[in-house]
Amino acid sequence: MSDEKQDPYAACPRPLILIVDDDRLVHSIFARALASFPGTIIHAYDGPQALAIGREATPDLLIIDALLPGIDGRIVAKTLKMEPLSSFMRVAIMTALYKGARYRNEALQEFMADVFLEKPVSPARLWEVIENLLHVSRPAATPSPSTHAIPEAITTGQERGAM
Amino acid sequence: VSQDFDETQPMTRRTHPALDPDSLTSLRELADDDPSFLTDLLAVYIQQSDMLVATANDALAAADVDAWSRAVHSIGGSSRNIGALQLAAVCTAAEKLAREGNGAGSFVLIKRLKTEYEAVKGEIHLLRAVKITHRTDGEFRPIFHGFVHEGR
Repeated sequence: MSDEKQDPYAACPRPLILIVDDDRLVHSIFARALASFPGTIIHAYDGPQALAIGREATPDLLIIDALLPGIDGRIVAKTLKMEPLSSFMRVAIMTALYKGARYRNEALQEFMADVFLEKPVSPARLWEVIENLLHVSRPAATPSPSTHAIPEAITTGQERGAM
Repeated sequence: VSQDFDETQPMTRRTHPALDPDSLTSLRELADDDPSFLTDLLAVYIQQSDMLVATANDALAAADVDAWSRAVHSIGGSSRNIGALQLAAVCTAAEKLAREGNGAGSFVLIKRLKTEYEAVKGEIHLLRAVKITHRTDGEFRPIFHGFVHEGR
């Protein structure tokens, strides 16, 4: 028996975005808005899950809510940023609670975020962040996915293309 | 629709919709040509919020300020996403009172929260009914035209 661990994210098209929020509506809206994203979208719903997936998947962009069950989203972001394998990751911290200049500065400086987003985050703003941080252009036409139930843990451009 | 909530004012009469029409328009634009996106989203909202309102109620009864605060924060966040702005404002006020340790105020606000949530659910059900009409006869009908709801 081999001790070698399988990497479940090895075949995922890049760039890879990890979206973390305990509000399932945010996942549904973001999944819909990013239906034409050419890489991979991964969904997580609490702090410990985000940390575990973040370490395995080494996302190119982490979009994470500040207030999460288990571990504060800002701590998750900083923890991953300080680990060598995910130190290149870009980070957008979202919040509906920690609003204002003080928390913005704290997120950008102490918690190593690239972008601070006050909720609700519109699809246009979401794409703006992705274009700025990942240099991925928004495709002109958004394909309509055949399903829009609560997103599965992973959705990829390839899978969507096969729908 | 105002997002401000004044807990000192009694809520006796609703003169604006519980769901902000502009927010719904944005969600419909996001849905593009997928007619069930909004319906499914609102169903998730109700499923999620039913549990959170019950959690908030239990937390307040148990004087668990952290659980109360987390629950109303979550209700407020998802409410804002679907355009339930007045409910979101009630939740913001509830979080503020929780931070200030104002237990009496929180008991007042849970009633407001439930009343407002029922109004939101009522409009979601209305939205579904209108949607079915729209899908069967192809005729567009404004949903919130002259909407007035008598609250308690």
